[in-house]
Amino acid sequence: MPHLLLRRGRIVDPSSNLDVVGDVLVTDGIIAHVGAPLGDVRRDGDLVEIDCTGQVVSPGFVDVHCHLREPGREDVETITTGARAAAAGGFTAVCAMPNTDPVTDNQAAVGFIIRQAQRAAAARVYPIGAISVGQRGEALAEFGEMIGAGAVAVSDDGKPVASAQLMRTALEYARTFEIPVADHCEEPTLAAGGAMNEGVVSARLGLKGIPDEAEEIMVIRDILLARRTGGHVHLCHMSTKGSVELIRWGK
Amino acid sequence: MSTSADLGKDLLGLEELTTAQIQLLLDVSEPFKEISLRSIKKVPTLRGATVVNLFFEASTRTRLSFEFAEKRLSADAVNVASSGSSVSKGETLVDTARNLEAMKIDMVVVRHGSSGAARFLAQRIESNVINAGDGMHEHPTQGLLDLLTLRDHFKRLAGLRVCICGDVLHSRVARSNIWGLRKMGAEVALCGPRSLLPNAVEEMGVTVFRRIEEAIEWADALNILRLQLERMQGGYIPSLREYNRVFGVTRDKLERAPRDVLIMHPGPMNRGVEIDSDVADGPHSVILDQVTNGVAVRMAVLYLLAGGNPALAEAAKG
Amino acid sequence: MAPTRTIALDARAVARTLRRMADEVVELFDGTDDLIVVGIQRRGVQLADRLVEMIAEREGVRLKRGALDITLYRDDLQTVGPRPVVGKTDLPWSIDRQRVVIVDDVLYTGRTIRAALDELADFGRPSRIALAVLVDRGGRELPIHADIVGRTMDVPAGARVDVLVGDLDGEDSVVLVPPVDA
Repeated sequence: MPHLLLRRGRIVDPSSNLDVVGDVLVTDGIIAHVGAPLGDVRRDGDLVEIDCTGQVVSPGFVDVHCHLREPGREDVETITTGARAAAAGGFTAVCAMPNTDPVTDNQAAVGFIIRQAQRAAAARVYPIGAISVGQRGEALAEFGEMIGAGAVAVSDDGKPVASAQLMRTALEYARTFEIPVADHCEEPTLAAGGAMNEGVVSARLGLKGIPDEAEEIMVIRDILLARRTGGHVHLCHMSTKGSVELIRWGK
Repeated sequence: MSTSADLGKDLLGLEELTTAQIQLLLDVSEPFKEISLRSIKKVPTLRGATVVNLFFEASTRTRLSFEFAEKRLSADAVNVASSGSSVSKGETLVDTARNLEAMKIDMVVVRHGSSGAARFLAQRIESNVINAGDGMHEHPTQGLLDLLTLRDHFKRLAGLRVCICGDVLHSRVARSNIWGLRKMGAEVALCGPRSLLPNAVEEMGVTVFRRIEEAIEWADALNILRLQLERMQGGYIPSLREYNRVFGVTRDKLERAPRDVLIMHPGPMNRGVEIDSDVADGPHSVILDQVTNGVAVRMAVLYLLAGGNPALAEAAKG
Repeated sequence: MAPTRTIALDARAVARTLRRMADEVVELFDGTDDLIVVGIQRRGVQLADRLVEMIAEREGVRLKRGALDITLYRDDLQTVGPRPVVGKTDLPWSIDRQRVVIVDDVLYTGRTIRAALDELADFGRPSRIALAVLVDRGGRELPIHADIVGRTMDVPAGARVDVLVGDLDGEDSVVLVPPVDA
């Protein structure tokens, strides 16, 4: 394996509170040096040197919420194209949501994603399994089997968990496996047919609006259920001021 | 002054028009009224032009009105009625548009159930596009004919008090009226059950009356919207009977007004729901004048958008 | 530089010319029976009013005066686009078997008169149509001629003949405006 020397990049790493211009040295696949500019580096074996002037050098990003669309909508995205796009954009790991067709709600489906990701050999892909069978919001999917196959969380993303009882059960059951339950917060009757946020713009354009409360009602419900069950809830794509205030209160 | 440049390629809504453009459309509508009174109701103006009436939603009045306007201007009018299919509407529309263009047409009059459909189409084809109603967004020719009818009656629009009554939430007519009236200097109010008024609609510069009695006391004219019967199934109102009782425009309520109130309705009416028959057929109703003006307004729109090179029009003035 | 405007006919000359034209109209039709005077919007209508007035003075008969706006009958919509001002056409009587004299201010290419004849045909079938113009400036593009001409002027292409009438423009006159680059 060649050694890698990244020269004069802007090194940004929030976890070590670092933001400096300097060098990064990787030897034998291990980061050996981060920070101050290095002088001449002895060339024992192959050394690839890259001038990173004007570039940012940082740890790989992780996208915990993406849609790779395979299986079912390979015309839009595949695991290969998605993993490559992620790598090209600086993301070394992505979590794939389970609203595929068929839904990623069992061990075999999770295994398929893992294998496709290995074949793609780009960003790492962590599958998220469905909360309910077929994302129909009725029966719990087999969390244990899916985790065993490589899933890292569960979600019915794309659809809200409409039933409070199902959400409660999911949060309780997920505790066994210490995985988060990610919810797409949208109260379905308030959001029905909506195309955009409700307000003067939706009034003007004649588009059916979705009121903030459609999100916030589900946010507070999930917070209260997490408090009751001790489960780990993850609230997806928050978009309203009210949600932020509720989450602050919940924490 | 070249009018093609003035109006642009399409008529998509009144929101994007200037006061001067609306004024031009109303003024040019005037001479077109006379053509419909002739025994030979036809002028050769758009001879050779092909106009497609592309209606994705059922319509009798608007389609007929456009068709009369087209035929009285000697255009070749073709009707395409297409109900929704299982394919998503956006895709159907693009494919339909491309097929139409391939058949070498000049103008498209489009009615579609989705807000924004007319603009979507206009951005993808070279022909002139006239919006004959897109979802809950706009119905500009209806807005213009309402303005023309008001102007005919009051001889002005500035300072006029017009209240739009009923289901504003789902109404493209209401939105076009709000824009058109406000741009022409009229005061606009809305009155209807709050469940049928858009949230934040006050920010569009209108007053909201909770009670129809207050609206009648305030207004010079009422534009009474059709209450779609399916709204009751949608749960927006409990019953038509109660709607008529609380929000219906009745002779009884009008008689308590301090002055005569002009009655307009874009049709088709639900007699006994939003409007009582003795109001619809009463002395202050201009509902049929609206229909008559509709043809003149649509002729003016077709005429002003029709072909030609604006630069040459400028040169030809001398 | 603004082109130099020349007054070809002043108010008195216009009045004199119109009086002669009024007499010629009556002569041409051998009287005023079933005669309708139709002006072409806009200045032809004012001139038609004057002729009706003058004929009334001489003959004691007030003729019907109609108005034609030929904008919607133009043959250049597809090439030059729509004109923003469409005037009023006003012919509230039947013109079947009537005699019509069309009045316009300037006769040039003949295309306006072609359009006017088409428009009249949509209103009925007169037994005769004649044309009276205040100025014939030549330059015809169609086989059309005037029966009654106030003045014939030889005006180069590009130049303009403006007929000004009291009701619209303050004072009657005919003004020549040379081409801009002359």
